[in-house]
Amino acid sequence: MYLKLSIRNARRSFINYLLYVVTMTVLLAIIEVSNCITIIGESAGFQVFSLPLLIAAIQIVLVGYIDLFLLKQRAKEFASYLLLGMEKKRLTRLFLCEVLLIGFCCYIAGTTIGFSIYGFWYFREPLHEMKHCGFLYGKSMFYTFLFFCLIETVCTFRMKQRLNKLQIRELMYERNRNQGVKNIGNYKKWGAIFLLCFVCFIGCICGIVFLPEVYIVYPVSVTAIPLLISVFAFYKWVFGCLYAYRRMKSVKIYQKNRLYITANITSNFKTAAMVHAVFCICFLFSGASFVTGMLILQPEFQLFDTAMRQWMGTSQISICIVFLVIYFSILSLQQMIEIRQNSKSNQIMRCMGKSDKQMARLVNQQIAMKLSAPMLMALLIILFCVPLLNAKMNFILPASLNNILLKLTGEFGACIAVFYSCYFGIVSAMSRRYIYPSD
Amino acid sequence: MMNQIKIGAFISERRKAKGWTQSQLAEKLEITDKAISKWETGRSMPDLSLFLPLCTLLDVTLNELFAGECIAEEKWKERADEVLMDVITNWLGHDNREKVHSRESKENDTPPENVLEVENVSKRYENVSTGHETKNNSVLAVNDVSFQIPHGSFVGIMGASGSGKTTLLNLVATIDKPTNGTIRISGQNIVDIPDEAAAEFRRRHLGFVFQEYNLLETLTIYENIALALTIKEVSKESIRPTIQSLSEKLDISAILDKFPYEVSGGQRQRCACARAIVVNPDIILADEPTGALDSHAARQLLDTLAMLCREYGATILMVTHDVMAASYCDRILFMKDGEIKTSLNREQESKQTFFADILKKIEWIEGESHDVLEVVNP
Repeated sequence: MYLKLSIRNARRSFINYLLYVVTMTVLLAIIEVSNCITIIGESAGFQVFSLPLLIAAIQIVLVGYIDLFLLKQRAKEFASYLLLGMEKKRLTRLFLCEVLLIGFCCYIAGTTIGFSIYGFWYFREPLHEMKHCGFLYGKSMFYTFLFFCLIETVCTFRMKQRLNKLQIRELMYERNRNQGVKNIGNYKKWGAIFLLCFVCFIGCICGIVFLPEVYIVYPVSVTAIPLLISVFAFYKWVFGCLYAYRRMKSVKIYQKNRLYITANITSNFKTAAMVHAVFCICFLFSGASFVTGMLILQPEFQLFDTAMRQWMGTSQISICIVFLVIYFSILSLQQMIEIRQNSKSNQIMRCMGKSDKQMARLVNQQIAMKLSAPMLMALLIILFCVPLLNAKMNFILPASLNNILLKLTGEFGACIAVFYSCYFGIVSAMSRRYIYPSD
Repeated sequence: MMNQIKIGAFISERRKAKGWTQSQLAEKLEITDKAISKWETGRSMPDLSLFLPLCTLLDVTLNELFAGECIAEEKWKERADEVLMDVITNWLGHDNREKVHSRESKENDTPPENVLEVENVSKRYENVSTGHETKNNSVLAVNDVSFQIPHGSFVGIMGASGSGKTTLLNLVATIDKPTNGTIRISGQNIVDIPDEAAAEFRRRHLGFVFQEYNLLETLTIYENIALALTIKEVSKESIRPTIQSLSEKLDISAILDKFPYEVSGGQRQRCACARAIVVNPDIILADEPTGALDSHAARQLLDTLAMLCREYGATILMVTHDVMAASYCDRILFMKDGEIKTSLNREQESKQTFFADILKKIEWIEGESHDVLEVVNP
């Protein structure tokens, strides 16, 4: 009976599972592609193992977030099972098996899609022999499976802990639960950490730009640490600040749509800070890959032979596109699910006097903010770093490549604008059915 | 007696002389602009605590305000005594006034202004296969309904499920449009207004209390009430004092910082009432507000609604099928098959007697349908 109930409820929450399935499949496909690049790169003497590792780290955060989201959606159903007499251990096992089973299907789909994409791109070159195809597929699948196991182990462990902690009463209200903190002044601590790390990061960049050649290796090797901490601290600070601003009942919040939007942003502010930090890192990597790829493809850039240059440049641009797709697709899907869940709120707002047009505007504002919020910190970093690094590159590269970094950043900006407009348009159009009930 | 309309016109005249808009005066007094509008049209008087600040702002004395005109110096003493006498008469009258007295005085004086006027309203849904009357795949949910609701009254609509009461409420709420007839709220015909104007109308004139509370789960109780005020674009400085004074009245001050899921159903519903009344609507529409509550919480809520009616002059239209809830109303309309079959006015009888009267009416309506059935199937 439990199994039947579980299957029926899983079917009902198909849209919520879609977020899980899409995220898992897309990211596993990307890990598969990056594993193929790693294997080919290894044979060519390059070390690119850090790429799938980085994607796996991103996936751990995202899947962990989605697991908790799924748990929230089905918490009331779980409470009912416990009330019917199911043991907690059995319930936990059932849910984890369900998630693992779906995860495994995503693994099969992801590796197949990932390898098909890479294979199509790699083996169309007459130089690359098809006989290596099986070997490449087997090895990359094995590597991807290891990453999949790592991701599932970490996420399952966290989910098990969360499920064990929740009692029936808490499960009943889990869906509506808003995150909060006892000490709302905590955000100041995060503000201080952000400032400190950001100054360190800018210091490292200045070191790269201004130190003599022999010392550059030191700032280069540690730059990532203050960068990652400052991104995480920035979002912790921003969300904490908004939450405190709201809880202190600041007068400024009670005008226009600020209260509604702030409440939506801060209802799960702890998780949101983590997720925004991950998306921001995705965005930064995407930018870095774009600039590197385009730079390598410049004919004046004579570091490798033409074939190698083209392979590397195209790989980098593919990575850029992959990160952008991760960024926009998952944020858009998350936003669409949120709008669907908020359809009741939309009805309440209509009764309170918001017209359909005003609701559409409000939803569009939310979409625009959700899609652009993770870029905020990235833009700050770009604003400080690009002019400095551009000056350094002007010094190193030939005169024909003068201000190349500024130019490439501009091109990346244009590329982002295109992606942003497309995804914004799609989400906005799809959200219409939840705003206009008659549609 | 004090002439509210004259006082209102005087406030309006002095405000204009100062060159202020209603919103600017409201902002200075930290109240809603709707309250100013109600004073100026003679629909209500300022609260006691606002008389002195209002006089200071308008540069008039309290005597002049109550007289509704500027008083020349030579007539000062004579007019001051007249005003004082008016105030005392009004005060004593008010002190002794219970609901019964209020009703008597209303009957003796001019009848109160109607907030809601429904005339020959019908609603037919096309292409529906289920319902109580199905012809050519269409359902007549509301059939030629007419009634009026005077200002400050608490009116209930009773009827079994599918009798058309919620449809009627939706028509009044501008959520749905009638097939025929007119609906006027505060004199404005709401039948043909476009969607954008309907939203504006809901914002300015209507308050809602639903069966399922319908509070936003991401907002605290305080924020839920504040949201209604921000949507109405009330000055941001006046929000906190307004919510605090209202929450004390409704006994929800202690839970203002909690989220809806952290409080009981009864408290949630009182918060929904606070959200509805805080914007000072012309009429509050309540759709089975006690439906999800236990009897104790339901009684508390109904007491709250009756208090809003009595002390805030709120006009309430409540849909219910609960006889106990209906016994709190001043008047009940009984609906069946989309029509108002009969109505019942509460005169001076106690709640218990009124309760018994409602039961008799229901029995009568049911008996009527049995008679019809007997004729059809002898």
